[in-house]
Amino acid sequence: MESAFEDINLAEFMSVCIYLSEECGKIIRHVSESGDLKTIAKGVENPVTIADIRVQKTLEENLKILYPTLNVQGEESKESMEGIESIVKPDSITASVKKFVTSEFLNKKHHERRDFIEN
Amino acid sequence: MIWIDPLDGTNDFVKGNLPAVTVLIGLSIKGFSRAGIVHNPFHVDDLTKGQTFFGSAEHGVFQIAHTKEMTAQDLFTREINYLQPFDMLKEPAEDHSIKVAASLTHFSEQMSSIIKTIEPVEICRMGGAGNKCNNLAIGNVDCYIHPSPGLCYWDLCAPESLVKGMGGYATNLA
Repeated sequence: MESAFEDINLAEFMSVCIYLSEECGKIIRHVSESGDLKTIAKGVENPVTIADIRVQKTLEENLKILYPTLNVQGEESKESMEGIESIVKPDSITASVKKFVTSEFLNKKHHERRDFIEN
Repeated sequence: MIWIDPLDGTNDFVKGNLPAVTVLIGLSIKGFSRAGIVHNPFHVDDLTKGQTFFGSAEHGVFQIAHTKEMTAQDLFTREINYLQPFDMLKEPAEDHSIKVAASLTHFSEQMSSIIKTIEPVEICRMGGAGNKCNNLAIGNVDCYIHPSPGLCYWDLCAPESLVKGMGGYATNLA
């Protein structure tokens, strides 16, 4: 059986999440501009729109492919995402996307903050 | 464990209060929020622009600009701004009112009376849990109080990590 552990590089993880969240921002902007939010009421003062569903599908699917050992839990239910496709394709997450934030950068910032963290 | 709120502030989104909307991705390790990415697609000063915050207690909090016109090259080479953490030694002015971020849609008499036990206080009602934490992280308000059930891990994991990165604290009232 394969081990359920793998090392995940934090700088790469952050770079991927920045890319995905910004692509999802475009989905939200697009739905907002279309004027057709397809709002459904989940409860009192608790609506859900097509943007919520599309964004969650996009984030969940890509993160699960890239980081199969991490649990991903989002606000929207599995049922609500049936038939919805991810807007971002995994092959668009290129090496350049993954190295936007580098380990060297984070390590340097961590080093500079040592006094602040210790106090 | 990754906690996702695909569109925090849906109430505000539906009502057209777009700056309150955020996309939240939080990384939690052994039950503690450790790193967060918060994207704000509609900047409060200019709705055509967006911004993203990311960080952790270990590395600090960073802010980057985002617009839909940016090319891939622009995105890879844009400036990453480090936000100076809170200065814990600085005393506030004598007459400083404590600015408290509080809910726009879920706001009750009870919440109001709890928050008003702080004196002097200025209550800043704003939408979106992620948005309120963001305003806290960038220093627009001094704290965010939600004395009511209803906040979930997906609301808190990412923005709480940023608050920690600025040197702030997150706690429950119990």
